Amino acid sequence: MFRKSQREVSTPAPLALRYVDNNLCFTAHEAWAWFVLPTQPWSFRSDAQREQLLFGAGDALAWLAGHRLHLRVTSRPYPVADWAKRLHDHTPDPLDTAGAQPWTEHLVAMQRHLHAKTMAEKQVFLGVRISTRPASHRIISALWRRPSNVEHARLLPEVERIAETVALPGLEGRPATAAEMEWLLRRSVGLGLPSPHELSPVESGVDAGTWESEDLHTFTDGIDYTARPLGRSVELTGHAGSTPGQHPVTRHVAVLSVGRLEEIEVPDPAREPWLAHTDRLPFQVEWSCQLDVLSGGEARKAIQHKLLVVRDMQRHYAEHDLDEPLALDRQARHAREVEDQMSRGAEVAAARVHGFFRLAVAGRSEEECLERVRKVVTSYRGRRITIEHPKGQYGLVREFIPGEPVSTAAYRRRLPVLYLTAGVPMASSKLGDRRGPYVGYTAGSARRAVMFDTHYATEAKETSGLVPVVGGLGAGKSVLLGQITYEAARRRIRSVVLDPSGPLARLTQLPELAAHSEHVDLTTAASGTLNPFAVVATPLRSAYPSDEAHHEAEVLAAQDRKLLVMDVVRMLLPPSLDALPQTSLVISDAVRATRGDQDASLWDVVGHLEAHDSPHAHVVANFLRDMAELPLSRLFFPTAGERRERLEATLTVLTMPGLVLPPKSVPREQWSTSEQLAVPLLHLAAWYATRAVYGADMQARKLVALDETHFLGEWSAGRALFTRLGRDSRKWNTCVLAASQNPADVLGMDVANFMSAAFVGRLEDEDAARDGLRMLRVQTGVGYERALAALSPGRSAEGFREFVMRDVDGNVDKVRVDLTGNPALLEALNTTAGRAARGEEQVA
Amino acid sequence: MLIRPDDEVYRVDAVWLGPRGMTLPWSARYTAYGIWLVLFVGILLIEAVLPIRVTVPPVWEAVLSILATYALTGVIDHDRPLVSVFQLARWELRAPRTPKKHRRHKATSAAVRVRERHVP
Repeated sequence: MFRKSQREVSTPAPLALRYVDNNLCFTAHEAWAWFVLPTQPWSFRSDAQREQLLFGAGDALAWLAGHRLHLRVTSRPYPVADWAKRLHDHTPDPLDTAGAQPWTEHLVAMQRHLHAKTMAEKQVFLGVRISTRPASHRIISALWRRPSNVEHARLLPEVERIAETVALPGLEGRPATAAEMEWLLRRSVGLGLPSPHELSPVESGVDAGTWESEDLHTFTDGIDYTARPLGRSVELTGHAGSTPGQHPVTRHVAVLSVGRLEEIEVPDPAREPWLAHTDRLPFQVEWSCQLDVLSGGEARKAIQHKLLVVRDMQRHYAEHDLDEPLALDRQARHAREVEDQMSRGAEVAAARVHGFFRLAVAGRSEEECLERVRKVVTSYRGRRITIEHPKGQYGLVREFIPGEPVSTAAYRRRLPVLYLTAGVPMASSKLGDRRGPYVGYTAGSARRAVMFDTHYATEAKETSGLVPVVGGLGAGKSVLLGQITYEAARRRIRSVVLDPSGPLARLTQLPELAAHSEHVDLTTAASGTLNPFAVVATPLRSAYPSDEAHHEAEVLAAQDRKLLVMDVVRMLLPPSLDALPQTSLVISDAVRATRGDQDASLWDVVGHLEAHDSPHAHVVANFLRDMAELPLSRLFFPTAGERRERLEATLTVLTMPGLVLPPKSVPREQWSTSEQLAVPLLHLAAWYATRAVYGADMQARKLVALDETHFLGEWSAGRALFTRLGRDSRKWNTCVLAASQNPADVLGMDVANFMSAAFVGRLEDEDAARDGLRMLRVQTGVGYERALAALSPGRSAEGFREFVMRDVDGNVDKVRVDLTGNPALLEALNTTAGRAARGEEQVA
Repeated sequence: MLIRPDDEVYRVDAVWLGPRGMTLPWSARYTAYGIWLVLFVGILLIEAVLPIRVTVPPVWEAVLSILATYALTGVIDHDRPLVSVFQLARWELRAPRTPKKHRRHKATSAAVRVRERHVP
């Protein structure tokens, strides 16, 4: 009799939304205002900063008592194309080598890599129900097909009050724009589907930012929902729409609900906030929390009612001469504590939220989706939070759409407002300058791409360009230096790398860099290459505005030379001789006689010593002559012959193979002759490398990367070098990467004010970790030391190279160096025994 | 600072042990008695509408309603109140289902009649 209608596809029920006007959304019965909450840094912040954030957000929410809130946490793919364009714009003259991968291809490859890594940026929206709509407004709205001006005018004061409250510190929200609302609607209707590529082209004009009932079909038309009876997931099919040749995309979405919650410690330095916990999962998790905010008074009434029930039950058990369950007593005590807290505490402590916390995961197949559900449940079990997977999935999926009502009363949570804010849904990682080459991704609470531009500090922020890289043995410092230098060289930034041990020399063999790079083995360099008088660059007249300033710089350079020569001579002497007080005096006299002239040499110092009246000076001169006979001494005891100025290539790697650096634990008295010679060689090589800074145009970008700098901090010449680099790096537009094994050495150089960014790798020793944190300007003594010790060592089985990075803007987070996008570079930089054979780095 | 959720206070088991001085051998929540009563009356009403003879006392009706109450209270707890069962049923009925068979849409000209027009 009745013919069942056959439909090819299942369409969802119509949306509850009727009208959208910028950030105001109207359903048939309610009016909502939507706000965007900016993400907040969380990692490595002090307890005081965290508490300030929690209490600020709690206060703001307590002000919203009486309103229903809809918190939506979603994500937006990293704007890879925008980043690539920005990087290209900041690279005016990239390096292109015939036959090798051109710069543009390199950019495309990096974009593909970033796409594949599925790194997304968190977006947090907060919907606040302004009020229910009176019948008169609904009727006018139905007739006029849009909310009337009278209704808008009536809502305005309340909307403004809510906007002010949401903008309070802690939330710092702002009204969502039309484009953001469209994004939220599309993401919510197509939950789990790939992000929409294009939004509405209408960006200006009268109708921009408004969607009427008929327009709202644009969000639902391209998406079909199908659900099996009592199924565990919902199948969403997204049709590509107007683009021909695109196939429909299907995703399975499962919605979970937060079940039992336990007592938490706030703030907990060991763990990320409970609502931001899903950021660490390798797939996207969306949140939808619909909450009623209760003022202290309302919440107190509810608690008192429950307390009466508890008392009644206790009496009932007593009437029957039965032992009451222990839970009853516990509940009574808890209720009384809560009631007391509400009656005496501040509003922020008394306010409560009652509502539902849902989270959605998606997969390409139902199996993948359910596997992800299992991962979420397991992940939260470790935090003693129960996650439930209820039935009625279709209704739960619809809860994510703004304006939709709660589909089920199951799993209602009743929490203090501070418990909600302690979840810090806005917590996210924000690291890097977003305009430089890609170095890796954050590995703390969330996975976000980290970009590091070597010249962001000097060009955009006008600060110093000194970047220390600190980490224990095998922390991956060389790999990080190599990666940053490689990207800089590809951008035609003149780079000089001092890598005594030599693995970074392989960079010069890469096809894209080979024609523009040079490997200089300092041990086989020409005699006098490291002449201490010559390695300190003479200031260029063009770099100074006046003759006086230039003269002053020349005097300072001469002082640096004298200081360096004094230290080098003392380093060459045996410690017993160096310790004698008259040694310093005679050396000082001899060095002073040279006047710090650029053309002088150590032979002049020896000559002045021999001409000195003191017999002690002759002893010192004899020792120096003995040292000059050693093979490597020819580098700083020049013989006749013309030196060739090098460091002209885009990338120059200075190595010193065979250099035996003395172990830290062995006292100077027990150093062998080669170890004794290594220290001045390293000093002079560092000075030599920095000549590149002063040899080029002041405004041209330059990069100097120095490895093994921990030996430099022990001598005044080394400290002077760092002070000079720190002081001059901004003026000379130079980024100086200084790798060291011990943060104390870097801190001891008194260059903390010159540090723009910093990388700290694994440090197991607690004192060293504390110094590392000080370098990162992170609070010490609150447990972050453990975080440094727990960083993955570069030589571990997993093969990650992890650092805690402080960027130029002061954000601090854990970053995992990612070289998988460039296998050739990875292979060139992989120094770990055994891993090179595998040829690949394992990635989480 | 330690923060506790208030959920535990709302997790009170309000059970009826029986009239004063006479403890029942079972303990059931007040809601269970309510559910049983509704189910029992419901079954009796159904029997009254259908041509089924109601026995006095209604033993099997009572047994049936007790079993149904057991089943229903099995899925009800503090986190899943009774109303959520009805909400679940409502959403399951509204949920879009996969079409059982795909019907082919084919344009056919079988119904088109062409009449030639002869112009004299």
